[in-house]
Amino acid sequence: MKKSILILVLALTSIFTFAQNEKYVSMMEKTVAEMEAAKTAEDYQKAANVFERISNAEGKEWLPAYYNALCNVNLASLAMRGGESDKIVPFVDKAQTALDQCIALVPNESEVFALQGFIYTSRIWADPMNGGATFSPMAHKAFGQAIALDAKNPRAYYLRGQLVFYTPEFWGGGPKNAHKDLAAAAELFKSFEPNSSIHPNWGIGGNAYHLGKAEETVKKEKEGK
Amino acid sequence: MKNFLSTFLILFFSLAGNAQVSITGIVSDKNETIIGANVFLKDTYDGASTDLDGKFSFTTEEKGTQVITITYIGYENFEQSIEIGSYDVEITIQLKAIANELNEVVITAGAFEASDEKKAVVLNSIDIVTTAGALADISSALNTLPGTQTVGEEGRLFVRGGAASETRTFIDGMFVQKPYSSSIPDVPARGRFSPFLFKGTIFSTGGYSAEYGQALSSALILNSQDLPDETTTSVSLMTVGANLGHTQRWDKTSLSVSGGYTNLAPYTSLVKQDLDWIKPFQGADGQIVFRHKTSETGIFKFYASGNRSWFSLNNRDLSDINKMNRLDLTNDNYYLNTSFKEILNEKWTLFTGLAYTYDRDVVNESFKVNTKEQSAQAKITLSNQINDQMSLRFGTEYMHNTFDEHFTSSDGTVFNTDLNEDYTAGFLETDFYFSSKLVARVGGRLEYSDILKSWNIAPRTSLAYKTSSKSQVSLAYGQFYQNPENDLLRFNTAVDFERADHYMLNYQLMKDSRIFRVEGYFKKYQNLVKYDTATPWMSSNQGDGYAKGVDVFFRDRKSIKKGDYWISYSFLDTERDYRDFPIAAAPTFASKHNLSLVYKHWIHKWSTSIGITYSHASGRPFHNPNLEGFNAQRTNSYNDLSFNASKLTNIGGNFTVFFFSISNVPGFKNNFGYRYSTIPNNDGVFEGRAVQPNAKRFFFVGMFMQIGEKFDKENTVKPPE
Repeated sequence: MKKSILILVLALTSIFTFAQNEKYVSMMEKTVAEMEAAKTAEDYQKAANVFERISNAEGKEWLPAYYNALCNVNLASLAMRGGESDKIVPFVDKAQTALDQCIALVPNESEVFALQGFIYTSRIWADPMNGGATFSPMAHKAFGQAIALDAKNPRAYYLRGQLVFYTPEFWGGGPKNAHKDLAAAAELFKSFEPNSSIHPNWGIGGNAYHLGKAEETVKKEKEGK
Repeated sequence: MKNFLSTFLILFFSLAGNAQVSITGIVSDKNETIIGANVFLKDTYDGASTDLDGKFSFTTEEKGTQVITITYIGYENFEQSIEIGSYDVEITIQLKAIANELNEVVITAGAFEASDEKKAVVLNSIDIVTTAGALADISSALNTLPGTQTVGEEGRLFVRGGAASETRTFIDGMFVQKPYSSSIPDVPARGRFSPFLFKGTIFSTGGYSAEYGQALSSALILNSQDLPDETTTSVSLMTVGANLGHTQRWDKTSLSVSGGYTNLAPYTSLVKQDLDWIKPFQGADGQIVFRHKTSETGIFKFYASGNRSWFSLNNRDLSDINKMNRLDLTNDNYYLNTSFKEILNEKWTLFTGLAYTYDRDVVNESFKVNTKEQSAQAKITLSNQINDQMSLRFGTEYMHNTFDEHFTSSDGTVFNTDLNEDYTAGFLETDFYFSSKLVARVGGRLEYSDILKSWNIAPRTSLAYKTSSKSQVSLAYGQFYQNPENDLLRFNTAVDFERADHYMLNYQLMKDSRIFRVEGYFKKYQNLVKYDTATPWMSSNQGDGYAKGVDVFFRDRKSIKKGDYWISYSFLDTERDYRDFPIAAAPTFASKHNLSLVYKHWIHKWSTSIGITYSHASGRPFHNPNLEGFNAQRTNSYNDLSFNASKLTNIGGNFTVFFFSISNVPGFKNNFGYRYSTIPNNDGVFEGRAVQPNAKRFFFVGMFMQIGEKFDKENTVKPPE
């Protein structure tokens, strides 16, 4: 009898644990989809909040904190485009706090360093005239680390290409100089398979957009000559 | 046993069952509801975001004691235990804003800060380099801020009716005895320190901290750079000289060595000069900068510089302005500044510093002067964060100064001066944060001067109150003491400290990228040294004076795309009865109205930044001995329109800047005052002559190249569209 109780308890616990894991995955899948469909700041904030809750409940998972960071960078980007430059830094700070959790959990994850580079890039938005001097080298270093950890991570190339794309030409930036990274990212996106349904699998659209612009510039230049 | 099993199952299903409880409520700040706050039960998935009305609602199956958590950007995390039974829960929560630099009250009375690290500042360090007309000279750039007077023939900072000597320069908290190059009357001096050495500048036009003493009017506080980012070599070529520097960066240590040579001869041969140069200004200088991070939080800094400069010209005789005498000046200057800063623990921060200055001027005219000044200073400061509401800073310093001068007049009379000063001071200052809206700083400084055989105690206090999230009001009061200058002490040391009391009221509004500041002040001078020209050894502290006025500053980085401008206006009303003044009068350096307009524009297509500065100063007092009254005449007003342009580019993969600058583009005819012969001519008339800029315009062309600098460094990244 004692044995059967033990079995029963074990069985129930495993069902419970399994249910919990399924709940995690389904909740993550749902919220990732919401994030991908997000248009407004409210949408992103809602998704960020859900990721924060999951991250809080599932202390050992890095993905909820990763997406929380990503949502906050997107919020910073929306604030910048909406001309609310004083809101950028608080969002970026929040993104950095969330990403610090990721770095502690998975110190050798290429995706985390790619996002780190993106966070540094977003710090430039807050102060475009002066921020570049400090944060551009830091972003480049983080992208370099991401590529060193996984040379096939398309987001590392895409986000670096994007940074170069908006860097003035005389400092080696501009669409033409960004072409190489963006093209490399496009190639990697083609064969990219995420580790699971909830692992990072974003950026293909943004990359295609910037690559298109870069190709246009290259073409125009050739015609000009 | 079956009984037990069924109990277990019932218990299990009741736990996992659908006994949902709804939790609703409102999240707000003091006045406004908060949209998008994250409300949830800690360690569960249950939660929601607040809607447009700050309302939230979610259901949970959790029971018993749970922790409700709320997070929102810019606010402190909220946590509270709640009991969840079978009834719905309704809760209203007020979040507390995080006290940070942008919304926390800071004392702003008197201080203009240029910093790259803090956000709530008036200027960035780069502004000092890019202000037209400033030619990368710190003092010239700060002269576009309110509270300063344009005194073109001096090149130093004159603040709120104070003489140049009333502004003291500090590097990393240590006195700088000779911040300007050696010069003679009517030849403007230039700052000795490159603006690139500093990460932050605080220019205080009054009411500054008790940490700083020996300055009646103003403190210029320069904070040097920490470790440089990387190893680089830089070269600059200018119409007036060349510089070469190399910085080596290791993990925790850096060493920079640089040197320069300046020669104005080629330039003065091309552009007509008012002065009759024999050997135009030449100079050679060298610097060593060493940095070492002693720990995660500790840094040791070492700076040493050596400089020699010399020039010769035909100088107008002081007693007879029609007579010219050859004058030769040679200056040697060495400066050493070392400091160590460490955060000892959560509460205590330690700072120690040592500084040494050696300066020697040799002047040969019909008279000869050989002046040697030395200064050694040691300082230690401790700060303690007692709690969130209170912090304490205190420190002590000791300085030994010597002034040794041999003067031989044209008739061979020798006058030797030998002054030795041992100066000891201590200060203590406490900041009380009554709330994130109200802060008070109360402190004082105690000084003892051995040469004056006198001590003083100077209370300083300031208060700041945040009137809204973007605006604040500051008040400041303080007493300031300074030793009389050596050229007064050389005749008589039986005098006391000179004293100034500051009263200030400041209002500041910062919104988006616009800043508006207005500050009214009253400064009362007392114990100023006064003497009769015939008997300077009978000087006494019977002089006094006042300065009052209003300073206005407006900067706007938002209205014009890629453009940035600021406007400074100062109104000054001052009179003093000091030195050899027969009556109370406005001194010659005090103009009533000063206005500066600074505009900067970035032209993306040409990767060029251009700047325009317009300065205006109303007429300055001067004394015409042929007329009634003292300092009763006024010069014409001063006007200047300077232009500069910097083109950023790459040469062979090296980051390069070309710059061009020109002062007084429209060719305004300015004069700074008049000099009169001290002896009348045969007709009994004191002959006079206008003091003018050395040349109508000043051109400057140069290039700066950083070798090994990568492309992506120091860039201006445009945000994604």
